[in-house]
Amino acid sequence: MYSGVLVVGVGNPLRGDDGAGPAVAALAGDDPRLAGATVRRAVQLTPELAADVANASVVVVVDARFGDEPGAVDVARVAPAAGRPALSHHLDAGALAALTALAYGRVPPVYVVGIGASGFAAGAPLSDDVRAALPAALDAVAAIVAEC
Amino acid sequence: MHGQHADIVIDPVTRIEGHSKITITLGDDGAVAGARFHVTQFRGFERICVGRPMHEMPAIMSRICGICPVSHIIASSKACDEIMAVSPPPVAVELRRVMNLAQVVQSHSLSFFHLSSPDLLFGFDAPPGERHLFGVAAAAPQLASDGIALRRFGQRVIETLGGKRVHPGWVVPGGVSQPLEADQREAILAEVPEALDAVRRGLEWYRSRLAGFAEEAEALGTSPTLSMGLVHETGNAAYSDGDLRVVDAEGTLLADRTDPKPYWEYLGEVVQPDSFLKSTYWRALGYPEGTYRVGPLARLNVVDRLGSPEADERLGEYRARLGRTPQSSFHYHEARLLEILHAITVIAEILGDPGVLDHHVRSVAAVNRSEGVGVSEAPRGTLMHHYKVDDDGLVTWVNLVIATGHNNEVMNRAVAETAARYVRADRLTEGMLNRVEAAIRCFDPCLSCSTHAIGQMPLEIELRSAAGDLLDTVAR
Repeated sequence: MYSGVLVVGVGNPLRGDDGAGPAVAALAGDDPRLAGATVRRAVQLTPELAADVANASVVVVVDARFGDEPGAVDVARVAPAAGRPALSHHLDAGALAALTALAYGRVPPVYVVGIGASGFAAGAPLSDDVRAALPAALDAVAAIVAEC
Repeated sequence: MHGQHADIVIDPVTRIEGHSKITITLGDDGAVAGARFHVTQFRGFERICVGRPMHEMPAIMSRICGICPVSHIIASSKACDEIMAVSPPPVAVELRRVMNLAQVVQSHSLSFFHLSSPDLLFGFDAPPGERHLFGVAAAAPQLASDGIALRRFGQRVIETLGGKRVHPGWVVPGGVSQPLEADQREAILAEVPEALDAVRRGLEWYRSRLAGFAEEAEALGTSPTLSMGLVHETGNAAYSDGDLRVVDAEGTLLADRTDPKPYWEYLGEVVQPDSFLKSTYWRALGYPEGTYRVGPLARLNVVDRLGSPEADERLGEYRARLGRTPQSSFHYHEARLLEILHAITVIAEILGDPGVLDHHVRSVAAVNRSEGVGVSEAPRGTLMHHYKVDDDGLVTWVNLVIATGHNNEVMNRAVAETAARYVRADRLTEGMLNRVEAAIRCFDPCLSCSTHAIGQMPLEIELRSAAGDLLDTVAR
């Protein structure tokens, strides 16, 4: 028995565009297209999320991405990481999927919605580019869920 | 050092919380002449708080660490209670206990399942590429998922009460900021059975592995020391309050029902020139005879009983097997598991009382005293926050005595003992060095940090002769 859709907005809202993931998660909680989804906000992806991932039918991670055009939104399906990274206190989506597969014997489809970021300065607000991209990122999440 | 000695440096020490290094010094005969554990990071919270309003202290102090923020919030709020000269409402005391015990569960689970179980599953001689949580998940999925479930349980309790898993602002001077609601209580209680099952499996798994580590159990830091911890007047373990009890290595009482607040009367401090961590000692016996340990092993040594039926039954079996006051640091692992079992049980017990939903959760007052001390048990041991304020409630002075400081001298001894037994001057092996690291890992030191790079930083150890010639190197 799996619990359904899990949306995880990743990032630190106190560090500029790193707050893009949590900002999308806040919007997702009120979006009727995502009714019934479990929406979580996390500063980092940690091993404890593996239990939630294992119980989900589809997982969407929303995260800021440095190096992409600011405000650009892209979607990628992530395969479980092939290697076995030594434990740190945070994981990327591929490593989280790999840990889930190893510990629980299954992993649902995992997608990452990336949002191009312009800066992660402490105390800075979201940039105009990222703020303008939030609806598109939310649409991307909803589109993934609608297809699954 | 050069000439008469040679040094082996393990830098950084991995799978602990924070940054440190170990230096092993060889003598002319090639045997280990000494070893020390150095804390190489400096946080400076005792200085940056000066000038801040007293009411801000719990929130500021929680930023000392991302692993044990709750411990600092509890001790800090108790110090502020003293300054305001108030007692929190009874339900707030109970809710603080729940959060503190949840911190014990999540922190101990991280230490045992995520950081130490790889050594116990694969052995100390296994390649480091296997000895981590992913390796455990591949080889023993139930063990890994139980560790994840337990840490998640502790974090969920903290998040439910405080709104955040890390740095919750809910514990405040005078009590807590919000009452517990019925649906929150039910949500926590619903997860208790799974958490209890997980720790029971962990205990059974640990017992099944123990026979294979008899040598390490005798070697990883067995120097006899005093033990210190907080105890209720009933003799049960105390975590958020209680009085101080100290016993020697044979279990003889050296102090009991001692008010923990005037710590300067019974604890002395020694500054170590090669570390940012000071060593403390029991003043009545002087240094180094007054060296003591704190944390799970010490707490089990000082208490009459934990105070919950199943944990006490298992504690009785533990004592029958290891003695009344085990001295090997290796047994911190089992003590940690027993405390997880006890903590979950007590969380369920407190939340089972409908009175915990009472909405009178905070006593409000202004500054009524110029000084306050808050003492509680953090996962790693007794934690003391001591503040002085001016008439406006602005902080003028801060002193923190943290669990890892209490244990510093014992950790140094453990490193030296383990190095003397396992390090040979003509070669360096992974297993040899990992046993030295593991001696430190038994204590689960938390080096007051909020940034971690565990498993990412390179580790390079050089072995040099007394003349300074490079004999061997190991790099990770």
